[in-house]
Amino acid sequence: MTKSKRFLALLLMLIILFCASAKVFAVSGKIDPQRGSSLEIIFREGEKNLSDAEFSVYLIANITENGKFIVTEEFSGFNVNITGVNDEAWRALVMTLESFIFQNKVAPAVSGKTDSEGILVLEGLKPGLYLVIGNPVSIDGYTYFAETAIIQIPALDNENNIWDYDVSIKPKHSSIPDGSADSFVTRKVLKIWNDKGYEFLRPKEITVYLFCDGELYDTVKLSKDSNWRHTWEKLDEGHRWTVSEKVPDSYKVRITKEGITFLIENSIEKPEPPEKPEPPKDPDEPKLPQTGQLWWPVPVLFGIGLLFVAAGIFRRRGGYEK
Amino acid sequence: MKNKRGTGLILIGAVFVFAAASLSAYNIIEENNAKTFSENAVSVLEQQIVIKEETGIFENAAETEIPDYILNPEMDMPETEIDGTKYIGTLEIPKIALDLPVISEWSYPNLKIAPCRYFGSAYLDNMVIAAHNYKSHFREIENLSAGDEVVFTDIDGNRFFYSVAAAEVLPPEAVEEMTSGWDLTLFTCNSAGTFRVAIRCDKK
Repeated sequence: MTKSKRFLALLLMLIILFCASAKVFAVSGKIDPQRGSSLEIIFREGEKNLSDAEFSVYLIANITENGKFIVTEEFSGFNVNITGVNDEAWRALVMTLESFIFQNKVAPAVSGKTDSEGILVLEGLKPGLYLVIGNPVSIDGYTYFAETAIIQIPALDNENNIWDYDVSIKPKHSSIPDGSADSFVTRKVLKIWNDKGYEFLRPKEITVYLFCDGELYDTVKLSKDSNWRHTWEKLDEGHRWTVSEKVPDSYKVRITKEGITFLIENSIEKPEPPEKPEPPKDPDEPKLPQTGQLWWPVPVLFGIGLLFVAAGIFRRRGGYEK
Repeated sequence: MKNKRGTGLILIGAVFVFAAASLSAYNIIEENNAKTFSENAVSVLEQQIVIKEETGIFENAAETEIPDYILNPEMDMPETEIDGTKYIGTLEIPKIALDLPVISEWSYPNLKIAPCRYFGSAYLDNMVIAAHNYKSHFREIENLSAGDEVVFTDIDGNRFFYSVAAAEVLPPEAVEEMTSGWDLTLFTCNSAGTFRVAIRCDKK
């Protein structure tokens, strides 16, 4: 697939995902793609301010005045396959984009740490589509993990029906109590091939990377011999563990996580599987395997043998009589 | 002269009787070998396989381990190799005291070792397992009746519980019929080798 087609694939997908917001352009007016914008991140757990948490913001696509997304040069080679507008598609998009960023060491547009109020304001942004990734932060015996978020600038101000170029978000997050030194987690990776009819294009093995807070931690090869899977045990639980793969030629990638398992799905988009030559008419109909032992000849052979023996004895006796 | 003819007939008869005895001996040796191979393989498998407990409700869903076959039912069934043969798990039928290994792919040499997967996957609820009608393999399956339990355990330790639902007798050409419509099918030959006895099972 050429680069332009890949670009198109991602672009189309983004348009599908954002069609809901595109509908409101008519009433909200055109976007100013060059206008200086900002992003405010408010990171709090109830009343508690989560300070000193580092967030990095990555520009995925620019936006035109009519609300079309134009994927940046950096992401145009990203061969992703995600469709749909449901939560699952969103999560897959976020996780797959994140894996691409870590693997390709994409530089953030801007990054910073939350202040004592748990607030980080990032200035000097321009309208577009951004991915917001937070590193885990340890505060008062708990480690907080911000969920990676995808946001659009400008956001629609529903009340006033205008575009808001100073966007504010409160990242969802989870937390775990800081455990002892031997608090570990297990992470698994499972490859899914979605390439019916094109299995011959599959590589013999693929390379999968494990990242710890965005830094490369381990590299493994998956193949049929390993049942296309791998398990990492005894990983320190206070970190964010993510995976990515070296996407094989001709394939698109989608990464999701279920429980402790990362699913890396590689799919192929071709119009139809190659035509299989019509199997020649086999004169012998296919048959179920013969699963019986050859016992039937035993009594037959034995019976015939006895008959011959009896006949022989009879002959011999008859000979004496005469 | 007649004496000579009589002796000749007795000799021919002896040859037939010897052939019958030889074939019986061959069958008995083959059956004993199959029993030994299966018993060895199943004991190795049972040592290797760690049975997975039923997944309970975890406080933290993010740390739950979901079996791979649920995440991707289309996946190939994992295999483990013992003495150059690849196995996909074990089969237990308590009613007839069977505990057997299951080989990944069927072939005539493989059938002499253990039951073989003829078709499908336990993850797709369409698996068909074939075995010889050795006493230690599938000869007794025709004595199973509705409701009897059959358990398949894969290499990952996932256990699949079935109950016998029906028995059918199919001709050797009924490949399509044998491989469609049931969660699990076990089949072997009738004693004459002319038909296939199929035990159909539903997943519990």
